Amino acid sequence: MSQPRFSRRSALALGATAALAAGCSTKSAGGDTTDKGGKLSKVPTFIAPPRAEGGIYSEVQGVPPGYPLLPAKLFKTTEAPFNAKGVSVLSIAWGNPPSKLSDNAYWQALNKALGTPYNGILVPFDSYDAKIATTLASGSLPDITELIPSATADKAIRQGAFADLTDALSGDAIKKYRNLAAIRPDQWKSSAINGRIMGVPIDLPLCDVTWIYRGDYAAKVGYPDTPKSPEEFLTVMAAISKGKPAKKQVYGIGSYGGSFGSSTAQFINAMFRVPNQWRLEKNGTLTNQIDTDEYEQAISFTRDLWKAGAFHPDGIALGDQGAKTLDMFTSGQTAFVKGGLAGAINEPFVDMWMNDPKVQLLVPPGEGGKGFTFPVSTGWYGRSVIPAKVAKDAKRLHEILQVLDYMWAPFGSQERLVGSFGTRGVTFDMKNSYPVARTDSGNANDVIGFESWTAPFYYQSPRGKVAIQKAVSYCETMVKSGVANPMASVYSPTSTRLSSAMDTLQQDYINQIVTGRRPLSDLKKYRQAWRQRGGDTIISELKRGLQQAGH
Amino acid sequence: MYAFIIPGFVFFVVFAYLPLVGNVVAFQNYSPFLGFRGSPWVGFANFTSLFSDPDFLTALRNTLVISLLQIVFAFPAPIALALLLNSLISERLKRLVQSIVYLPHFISWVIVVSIWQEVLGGAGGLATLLSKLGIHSVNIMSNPDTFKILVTSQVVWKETGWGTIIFFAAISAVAAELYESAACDGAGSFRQMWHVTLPAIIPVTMLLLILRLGAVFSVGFEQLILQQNAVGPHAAQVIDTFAYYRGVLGGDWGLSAAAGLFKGVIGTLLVIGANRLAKRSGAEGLF
Amino acid sequence: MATVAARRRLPGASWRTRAPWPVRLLKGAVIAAIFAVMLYPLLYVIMSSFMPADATLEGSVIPSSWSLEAYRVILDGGLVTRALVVSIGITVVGTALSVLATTTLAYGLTRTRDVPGAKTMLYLVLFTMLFGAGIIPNYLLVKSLGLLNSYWSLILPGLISAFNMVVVRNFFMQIPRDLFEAARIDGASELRVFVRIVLPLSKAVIAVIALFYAVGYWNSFFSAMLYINDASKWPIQLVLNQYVLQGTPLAQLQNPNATPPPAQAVQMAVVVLATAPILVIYPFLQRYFTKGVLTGAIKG
Repeated sequence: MSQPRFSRRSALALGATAALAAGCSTKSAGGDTTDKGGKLSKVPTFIAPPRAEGGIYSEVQGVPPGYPLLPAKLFKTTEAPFNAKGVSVLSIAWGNPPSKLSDNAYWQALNKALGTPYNGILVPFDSYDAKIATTLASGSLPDITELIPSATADKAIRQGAFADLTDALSGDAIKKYRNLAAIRPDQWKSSAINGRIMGVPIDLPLCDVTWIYRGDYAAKVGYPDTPKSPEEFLTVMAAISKGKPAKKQVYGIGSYGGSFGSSTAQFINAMFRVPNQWRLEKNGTLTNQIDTDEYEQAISFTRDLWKAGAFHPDGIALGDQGAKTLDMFTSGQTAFVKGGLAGAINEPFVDMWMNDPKVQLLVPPGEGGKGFTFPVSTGWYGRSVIPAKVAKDAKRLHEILQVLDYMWAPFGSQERLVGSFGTRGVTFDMKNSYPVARTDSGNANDVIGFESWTAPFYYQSPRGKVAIQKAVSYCETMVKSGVANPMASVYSPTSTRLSSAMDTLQQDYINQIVTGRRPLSDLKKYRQAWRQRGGDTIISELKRGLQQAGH
Repeated sequence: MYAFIIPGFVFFVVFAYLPLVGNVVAFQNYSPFLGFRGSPWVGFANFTSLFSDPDFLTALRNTLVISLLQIVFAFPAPIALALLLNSLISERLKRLVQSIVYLPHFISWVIVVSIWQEVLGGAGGLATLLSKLGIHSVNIMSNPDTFKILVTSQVVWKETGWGTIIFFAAISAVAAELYESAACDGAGSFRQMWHVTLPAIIPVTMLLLILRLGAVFSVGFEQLILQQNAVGPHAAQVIDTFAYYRGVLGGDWGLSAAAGLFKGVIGTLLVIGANRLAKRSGAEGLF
Repeated sequence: MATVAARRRLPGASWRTRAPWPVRLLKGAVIAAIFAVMLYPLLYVIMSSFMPADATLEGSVIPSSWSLEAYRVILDGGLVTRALVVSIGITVVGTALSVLATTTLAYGLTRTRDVPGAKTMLYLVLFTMLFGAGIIPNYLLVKSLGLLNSYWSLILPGLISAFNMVVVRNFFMQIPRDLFEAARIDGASELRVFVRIVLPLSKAVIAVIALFYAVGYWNSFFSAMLYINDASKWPIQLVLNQYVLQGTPLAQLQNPNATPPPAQAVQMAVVVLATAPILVIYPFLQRYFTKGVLTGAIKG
């Protein structure tokens, strides 16, 4: 509820609860640090990263750049090789496991360029919670951990497992680490805990979702124009389900709710300008999203959508089956789906819209012609943390931060080339001035295995400028109408302790209201249940946190 | 004999008993970083919050109902199937069917649920067939009222074949002479089964039943987590999924351990009770 | 005798009689139904693994078009081969050790009446089936034994399953006591009794637990994730699971250049690949628990 959605890569697969965070219980506060609040007073100086030739940059803050080609000349951003003791890293494994060092050309090149042996421990992302818990319990933490907000992780940070990096990084101290200085002040502030920097925030674009819409199907059933209002959207989706735009049965929307289908709810919320989790009035009143009129409108509309047959009949079940939902869209059985962070340039979407311009990245049509509001992300999805014990040695801390700095190099730098692509001719080839990973003998896996958790996010595609520009423009459109979660950086122990209970509550009420099993009037019951379950406590904790942060 | 017992026993002491000490977290507000020594002691607070949690009571109720359905339907199914296959004359047919029916055990629950959706889901084969006949919006997979029967059927489908293996082993231990003498006494194939085969599998059946009772609160995990969203937690939450949501995801390790201890204590009582009953009825109990 | 002679006898199993045809028909129908219900999903899985992105099965089981893409993605690069070797090694060694340890302990606990302390030990072993410790204590134990990142961390903690042990003990207890007594009176040691009498008569149950253990070791996934930090040592299930995860929408962000096969096909191919070895060993073990083995033992 009041913690960042780590939607960049993890939320959708890591269980049903997207808003995980720590768990302090009301039983006893002893041993658990209740947050004292406080704003980050000394923000690290911001130094804009060097621009790569040919890159497409946006002036809107929080919109990632895109690179259609690799510049001919690469700049250097660090003093690597560092000639230091090795660094061990715990990160999430998104792809195939890498080959062992002696067989791994990419890894060898990385070690050489770093001058510091890189020792990576990979965790499959569906077992991440368990691994973090056992690693913490064992007392031997690696030098760097990719730490995603979770109940266990947040508790550990507040109990002192990880180093306070404020002194090492704030103000001009960050100038030693040029690439880390490219992290924006809003990212530092929003990831700070009790006014201190407890880890380096891992970049997440403010526009963390895209929506793909099959305008070609819509055209086939008589609606060639892009929907300009929620009502039009409903009409089109229902028509697609009822009509026959393809040989097999097509449904408008695949899924709703759950880890994957929550994006549909986001789209609808955007159309009705529902607040991003919380609404904070000037007079200090704090209202939860579910208590607002806009939310009621959105749920009522979703009911209408369901009644009109716009959803796949298994829509709620599909909410947790992202792979299946995506497959359905790819094989043409649905007309609307979430495209993830980079829907514009990812397969299979880029193929679809490049071949048929009627397939579009859909902008939520605002209700009543008053425009839409996009719930922007917090700007980060995790932190790179360093164990407190290790950081006591300033020299060692510097060694580790240097490696981190290297991994944060922007596109266009020599470091990024080695870190993300490896060695030319061995792990990648150049095709149309663009580096393409070689897929023979598992080399591609060796690259992805290690670097996926670092680097500022950017759009990259061998499809050229058109694709990149589309991605950047769509993100700009979203962010320009974006509204932030005012409570994103305020901590409520009860909220995180009850986050799964609240999710269950939502499943119980909202899913059933949407499908018509419960009447719309049960929304009142839901709101009451939320308050009873702990909602009132959450609100008072958040208000207190706000005060302490000096609001 | 001790040479046979000691090594195995040492194994259990090291790998089963030593870790059990970790259950002390049920009495703590445990944090992995602080460890056993650093986490504060809270006495029975975890237990009280467990029993006063409305979601837990729902989970308990659901667990018991599903467990009962499983014991009534899913437990005897392998026995029935084993007996049925055993009565086949053709060895080849018997082997062929055996080789197919155990395979669903190996398909992960993610795929099992997906396949069942293809057939029983809102856009599935059954629903399409019924809508052609005029009966609309039949979605068995999203119906909270039939959910418990649905999950029991899924377990029957997935595990019956694999479950027959142990019974086949028991049946195969019966001497051929016993059948011969039964036939000489005029017993047809049904009577032979009743008087020869069945008694041969009673010991292992008793054993498995007692163990099943000990695990009365374990009714599955992955199968249920995958389908909870579709029918709502009121119908689908069970103790193990509850403990997972609260414990692992919610970071409340103490609560999760408390739930585990609760399961264990009740399970122990049931095993002791069932064992006594079995002995009293003349069978060979578990111990 | 007249009624028995009137029924048709069959060669071989002389006590078997053919049931009347309505019963046979009913049995046949039930078996056919069971066969179909089990077989359809399996066909679904196999056929789905051969489908490219734009194909569907649509209720029937023939794909609209075929592709080996899912398999190619998985088998390319030698990762699966390496993991296969790891898994085979763990399964073979683990199963052998487990069967040995389990049967010896089970035999040791058969004489709970005569051997002092045996009953207590049996209770203590059973007790472990009812209570678990959770992942953290087990991890700490493995770490303190120095087994982290070692293949032994996948074998030792699960060496003896109390359930399997109890099943074996149960079968041992079914062996007629006279056989034991006769041998012991003749002065045979327990080891001799175990090897010469008990084991040969228990081929069925040993085959069963060998199968159970083999499947268990073959499927090790979570332990490997927790204890093996070196990804090049991962066993097959962990590696295959990465392919399943890769097929999910999130992971596709990582490699926007490639066209991944549809997630469903990859998941199905994973099931096929992960299960195939079990299908290979099953027939070898099956013969042990379908044929009677006690014939002639009593007389001898």
